Amino acid sequence: MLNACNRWKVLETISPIEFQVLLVLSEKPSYGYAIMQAVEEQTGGRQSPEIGSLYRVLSRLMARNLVQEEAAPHGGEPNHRGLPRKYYGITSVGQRVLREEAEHLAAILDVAKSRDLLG
Amino acid sequence: MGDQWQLRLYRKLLGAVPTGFRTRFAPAMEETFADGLAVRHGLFRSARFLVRSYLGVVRVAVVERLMPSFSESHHRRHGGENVLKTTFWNFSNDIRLSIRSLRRQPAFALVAVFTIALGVGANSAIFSVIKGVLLEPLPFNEPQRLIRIGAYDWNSAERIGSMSMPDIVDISDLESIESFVGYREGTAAITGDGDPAIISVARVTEGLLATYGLTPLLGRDLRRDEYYDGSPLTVVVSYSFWQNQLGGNPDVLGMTVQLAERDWEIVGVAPPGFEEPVATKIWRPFHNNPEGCARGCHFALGIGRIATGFTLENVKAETRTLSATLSEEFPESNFEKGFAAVTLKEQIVGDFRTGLMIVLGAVGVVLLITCTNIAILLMVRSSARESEMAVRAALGAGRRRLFTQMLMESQVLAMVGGVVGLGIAFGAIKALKLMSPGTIPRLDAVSVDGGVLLFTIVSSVFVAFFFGLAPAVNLSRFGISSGLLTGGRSASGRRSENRMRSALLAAEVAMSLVLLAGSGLLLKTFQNMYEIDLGFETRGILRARLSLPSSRYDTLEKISAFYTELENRIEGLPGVEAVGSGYGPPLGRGNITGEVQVAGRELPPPGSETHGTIRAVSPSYLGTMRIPVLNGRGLERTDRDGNTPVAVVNETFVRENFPDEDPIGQSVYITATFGFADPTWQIVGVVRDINSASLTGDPVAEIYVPHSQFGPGALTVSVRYAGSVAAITPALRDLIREMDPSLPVRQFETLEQAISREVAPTKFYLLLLGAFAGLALILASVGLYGVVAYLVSQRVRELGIRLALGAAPSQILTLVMSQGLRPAVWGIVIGTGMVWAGARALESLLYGVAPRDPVVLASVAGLLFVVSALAIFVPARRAAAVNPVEVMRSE
Repeated sequence: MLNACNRWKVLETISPIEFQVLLVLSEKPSYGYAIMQAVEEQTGGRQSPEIGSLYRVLSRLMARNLVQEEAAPHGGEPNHRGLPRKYYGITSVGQRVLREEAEHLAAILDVAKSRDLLG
Repeated sequence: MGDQWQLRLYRKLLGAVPTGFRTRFAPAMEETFADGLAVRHGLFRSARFLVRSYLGVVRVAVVERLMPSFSESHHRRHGGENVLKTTFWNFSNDIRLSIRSLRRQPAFALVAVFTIALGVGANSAIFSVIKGVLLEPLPFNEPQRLIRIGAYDWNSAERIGSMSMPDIVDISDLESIESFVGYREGTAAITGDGDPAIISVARVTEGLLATYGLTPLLGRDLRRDEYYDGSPLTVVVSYSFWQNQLGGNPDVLGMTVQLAERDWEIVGVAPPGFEEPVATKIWRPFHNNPEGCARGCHFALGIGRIATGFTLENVKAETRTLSATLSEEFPESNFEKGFAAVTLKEQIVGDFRTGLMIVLGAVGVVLLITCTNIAILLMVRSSARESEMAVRAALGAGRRRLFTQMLMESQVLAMVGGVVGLGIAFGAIKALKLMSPGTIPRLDAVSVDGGVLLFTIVSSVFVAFFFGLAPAVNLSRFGISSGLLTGGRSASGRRSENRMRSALLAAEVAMSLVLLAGSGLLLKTFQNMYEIDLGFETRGILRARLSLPSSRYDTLEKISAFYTELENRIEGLPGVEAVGSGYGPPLGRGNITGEVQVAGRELPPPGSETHGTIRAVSPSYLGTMRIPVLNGRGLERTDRDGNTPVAVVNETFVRENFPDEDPIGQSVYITATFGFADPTWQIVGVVRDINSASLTGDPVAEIYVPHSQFGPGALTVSVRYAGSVAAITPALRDLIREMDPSLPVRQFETLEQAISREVAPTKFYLLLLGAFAGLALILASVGLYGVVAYLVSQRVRELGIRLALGAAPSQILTLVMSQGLRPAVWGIVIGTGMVWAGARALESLLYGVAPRDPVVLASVAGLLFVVSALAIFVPARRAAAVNPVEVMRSE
């Protein structure tokens, strides 16, 4: 099991906050504020990135081709200037890395369970 | 609380983010911020959101510079060890340590942050003014190529005047000039539908917009064939006029506007924001008869564009050659007349450069005082932290590590101070705009932008480095054993540290004295300007400028009848003491000046003519203004059209033209006319000189002629009133409307308001320098108080022993006071020397006071001494009140 983890790790390492953002975008493309809210919601408020941090995360993910800019969906609500919002979506590479990271976490979780840490 | 300012601030902060990241993410970040702003509820959540978002941008701005997210990703993907990251990690740790250390002394941190914020905020505000007014290019295409040219007399180069139409044509033909446009700014009555109004109208030659490198928003520019008498009446209107007066009608071309009761066809709309030369709403062509008005007729200034490949120096060289040729060829009109060329920007802001640079210098001194003050406070604090540093050194912290840590603390203070200072800068800019409406050109466009933000960051870093260096050096060079052994109590005994502290205090007091002296001199100037005797009674005069349309008032008789009737009716109004009308009122617009020739004398050789400014006035004008007649008589009702043209001259006129003769009965010819009269006048009286052109200028030669013999249709009616101006203004307006309902009424103005307008720039500089001097005084006294209070607290034991050995409290008081005052006195002496050496820089802003005025210098030195003594007295009294028994017991 650990061998498998190492194999994924060599391929790509992502931080917890990057994982959370990819997880949000894996459902559907989304825009800045919605991503922030979704991360806060899915971590039970434990992770609440402010705007600057979020866009640095997006910048890093885009530089690694895990996330890309996408066109706003038809009929989407415009932004404060009345222009279409900036949407971000996960790429196929991003999907794969996310899945690998999730499996890696699941493997760790199994180890924890096997040691009765999770009751 | 509206959303606008939060969003604006966020947008400004985004300006500090590195370009690459900003280009890619700033719109999305702003959008996310706006979304967050729209949904947050409750004061606490909103405030938390704002603070997190703002700090987040600052963090991005810093981190993206140190470690761009792209390279961060690159390093991570390739599994490389990121040196930058390690550095950043250490950096973050230092910041965290510093914050923790500062939080232990919140009062100190608060005072320090507030002091830095004031210094940095004031500097950022003034820098944004300098940037907006002096540094930003004019909003035209290639503005560095725009120049203004005016004529001047070789013998009095400081007066730039108008040029004739042939002069303008000659200049536009120069090789170094791409295009050149002559203009004359003025106003005109716009009539037609709705209330008549006065608007700013400029008469221009062809190619106005092209010269500025602009194209019309709609239609076309004025054409060459529209510049002659009898050509169709066409105008170009400004964007704001099109929007406000014509409702932005897209079919505006071909419509007409009624100017001076004639219909003018609109052929073009200027692009938004273009209102040159001065808030112009309509441009109309000069209508000239080339036969009738040649080189003798000077009425236009010129704006030109330097041709590609040429410089201002080329233009100056070419105009010099041209003026020499014209002087020879047309001596009767162009003898020894030159053409002065300056860049358009220099023309607009040149007068304010010195003043603003002095203000920038002053605010820079405030920043230095801020640094010094914080350095003193940090040194005092560092003295108290010697034990802590000694323990850390003993545990293995190197000197470099301690030094870095101390510097980091000052960086943290400066950064927080910088952020608060930015808020202060926002407020200060708003206050400056409110404080000086119309005083400084381009002030309206001043705002906090990326450049100002960068300035704030740089000045904060500078502040931190400057004030953090002395205490950091001081503490890091300090040995381990001495701190541990003395328990941190020997600080006051260290001579070198004392010397450094005293030197800083003296420097702070000296810089404060420089600022106080500057504002003292300006205060004296301000007072002098208000006390200037203009030569007549300025209080209780209300005036309004009227302009009779030449289409209906085409003869001197009609014009004269209107003003006589108006004056008669105004005299009947309650509260009116006297009324008189005149062309070219004191401190107002409208002047006509001509050469003076005395009858019976030979014509003076070219270049040695004297000039006289004509004031066409009604008979009651001199009495109304209370300008005393010194010789002969004033003007009378019998001096009217048909009788001998008579004139009253002022003392300067007599001095220049009749130095050894009685002027009464002499005839003079003035080469200036409105076309109504033969301009030969018989002098019947002499009146006192008055300051007409400006408050501080010297009187010029003036000749008062009867309006009924001279014209023109545009006069300023001056009313001397008793009681409230608010009561008389509407009555006057109603009366004018009653006499001619289609006559536009200009804004009424009292003479006191005109004087206030004249002193406004001085007032602006005075308020700024005064504010900075006040700030400096407060900072200097806080510094003195802080140091003496600290020294007293460190010397309680010594003072207690002195008292126990029989010293009187008064002796202790004197001891502490004299020690505290020593650096203050040094500071006053050095500051006085600095003022003495550099006072000439202020000279151009002063009036009636020498830059080294001993009274002002002595006053500010005295004030600084008293304030210093007061600041030291409080801790000195505490020292004298030490209870020796208590001290001994605690030992």
